[in-house]
Amino acid sequence: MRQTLHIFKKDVRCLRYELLVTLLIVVAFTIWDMAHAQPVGRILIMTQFGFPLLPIAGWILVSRVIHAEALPGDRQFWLTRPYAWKSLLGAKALFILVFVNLPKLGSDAIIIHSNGFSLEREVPGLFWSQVLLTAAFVLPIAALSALTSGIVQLVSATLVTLLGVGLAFGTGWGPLDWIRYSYVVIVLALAAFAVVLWQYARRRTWPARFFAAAAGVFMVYGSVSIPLMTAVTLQSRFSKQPVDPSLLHVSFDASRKSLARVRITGDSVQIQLPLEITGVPDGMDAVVDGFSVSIVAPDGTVWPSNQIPLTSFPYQPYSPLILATVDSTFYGTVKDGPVRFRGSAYLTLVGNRRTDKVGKEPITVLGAGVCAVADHEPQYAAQPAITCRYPFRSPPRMVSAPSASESSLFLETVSYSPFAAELSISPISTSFEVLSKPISEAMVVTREPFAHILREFEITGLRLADFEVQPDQLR
Amino acid sequence: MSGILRAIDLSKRFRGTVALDRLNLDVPEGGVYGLVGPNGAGKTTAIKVFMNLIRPTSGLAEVFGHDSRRLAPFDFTQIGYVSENQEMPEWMTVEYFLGYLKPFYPTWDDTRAAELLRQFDLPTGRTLKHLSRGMRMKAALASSLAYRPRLIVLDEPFTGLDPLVRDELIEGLLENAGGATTLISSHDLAEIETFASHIGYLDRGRLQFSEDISALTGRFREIEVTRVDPSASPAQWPASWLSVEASPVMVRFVDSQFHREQTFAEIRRILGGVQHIAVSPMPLRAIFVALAKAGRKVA
Repeated sequence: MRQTLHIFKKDVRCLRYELLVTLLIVVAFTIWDMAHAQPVGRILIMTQFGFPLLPIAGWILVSRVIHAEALPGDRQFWLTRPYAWKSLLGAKALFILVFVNLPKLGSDAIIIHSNGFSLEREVPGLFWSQVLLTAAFVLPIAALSALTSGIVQLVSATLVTLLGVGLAFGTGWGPLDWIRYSYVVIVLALAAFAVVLWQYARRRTWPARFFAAAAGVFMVYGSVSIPLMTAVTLQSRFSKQPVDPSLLHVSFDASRKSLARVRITGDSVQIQLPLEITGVPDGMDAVVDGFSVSIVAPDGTVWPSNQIPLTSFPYQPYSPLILATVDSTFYGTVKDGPVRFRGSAYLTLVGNRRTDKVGKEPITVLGAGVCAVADHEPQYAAQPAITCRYPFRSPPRMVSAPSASESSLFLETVSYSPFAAELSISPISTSFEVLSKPISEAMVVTREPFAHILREFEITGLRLADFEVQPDQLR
Repeated sequence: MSGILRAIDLSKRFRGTVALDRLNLDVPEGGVYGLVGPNGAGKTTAIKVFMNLIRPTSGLAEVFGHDSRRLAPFDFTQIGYVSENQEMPEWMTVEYFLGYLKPFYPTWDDTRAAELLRQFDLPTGRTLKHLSRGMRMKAALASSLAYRPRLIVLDEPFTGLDPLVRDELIEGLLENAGGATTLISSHDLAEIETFASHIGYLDRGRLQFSEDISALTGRFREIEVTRVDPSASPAQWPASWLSVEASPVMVRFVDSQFHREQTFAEIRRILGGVQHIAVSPMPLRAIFVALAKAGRKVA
């Protein structure tokens, strides 16, 4: 422990200027994020620089402290001095804890408090955000720093890692994104932890680099290979209320037949079909998170479902549409005969509807956070808006403000995650609706997700040629 | 004397390049061992393996009787290592550098550290980054002598230094090494021949010889033979005769196994009648050059 503190003190002295700058950036970020707590706020332009600079400052600090005793190479003075690797690692961990984690924790606490949330109630969020900060930010940067000895190498490795993480996050699953993100963060954190330990204990840089690269490939490949069905199956385990899937029926919505369209564009054909979901228990609504569909021709030929893009419906969750693209050759063989659509619908049943009146004074709305209407919401180009702020994550309930806007839905920000925090720089997640004119109050409606269901369905007897339209008529 | 540093069939390859080729080396305790050889002979590689800076491809390197790959922090409290290309914490001042290292060493001697600073005339308030090359080496040496190490390892410490600084370093080393074993590598024998007690000659990753300096200088002689019979020349000169230059009048060579009676007898056997044999002792530098030339010829 004595050696750990000794190295720690040396690092503080060595990086005193970087520390000063980082702490100033944390203060600027905190002021900036606190300013957003006010529906009408005056934001200091200078403090806005704190937002992008915060992760950059953290990146610099973590990498500089690791590089102070660089691990790759054979020329560093410390290698032939009586350093105990556990003490060295302990010193680096202590430095990061004190100057990266704790300032962020303090900043989060201040921002959360200034946004009107109780710190006592938000302890799980504070804890989980620190876990995520460590797992998805500190550990990967520490691992990259442990594998590199200079800034050029580190920048290159960081860019490659960012590219890999970007690929791993892939296309959005909306409220189910947390499953893919969790996989990526878990793989990233475990691999980074192993690399850091391995490097400090053994200093075998090339094997560690190969391991890191393999872990990166595993992370990206594994993430993009997770079938949505697996995610839905996993999500269904978090259902609060069991619902028998056989009660629900997915069928072609004849009442919205006008929305059924087939558009031929060169070699590809876009198909749009309205669906209806029936059998939903009283007091609940069914929200469609997505579909996977295959089309079966009369002769049994199947258009592979993996070539039909899964469609999520953030804009019309209660009035779902299948949107599929097939090639014109296949379409030519099936358009005049009755075809079968075979697929799976990923549904969430929501209920326990609550309505709260929201005015210009921020109030707490259960499951939506602190909400208010503002004449000039500074964060959104000073336009009138209704906003709801939730601590550490997207709201766990579906939030809408139908009285303010006909199609109002904050669905893009809902998350089915069971965790108290999401990966984010700011501890505040803001859902908003920009309004065409200022209003003094609005009704905010929230619905609680109860059950996540995977429902197989089959639609038969449709003749696609009946729905052909000119290219500009689709949607 | 038991070996404080030992290499047993030690090999190191870098992507097909053989840096050490089944090196066998035994550095006895208590003396100053000069490891010499031309550039690229493998001296630095051998030292780096001993210091666990790089791992051997095969074979074993031992320090204090332990496998060098298992050198623990405690072992390094007894080792002082200085290298010409060591990366130092450049932001530290000389004073802070020594103060920082002090708690790592239970045997750190403040009085000796102060004495070394004075002896080397080091500017304590200046950062390592702003020291000249010679001053940096002095700072590194001072930081490695202040805790009275059992083993001092110096890798090409004098390269690029002016003679004055070199002499100051040598003086500081000799005055403060105490009974420590010192391994010092160099490509220039003149640098270390004045104070090394043992010498090892490394070439192409192999130890060509390793022995006490007095024994070495005793067995190498430069010999000049004035011939009587110009036609007497063997198809092959003896292996112990190096750098042989033969003319009808004279044969000149370096005998690497000089023994007055035996050498003279061999000369007469090979060259027949001789008019005169002149025997000159050789400085280490001349021995080194003769060995290097012989090595290249074999290669």
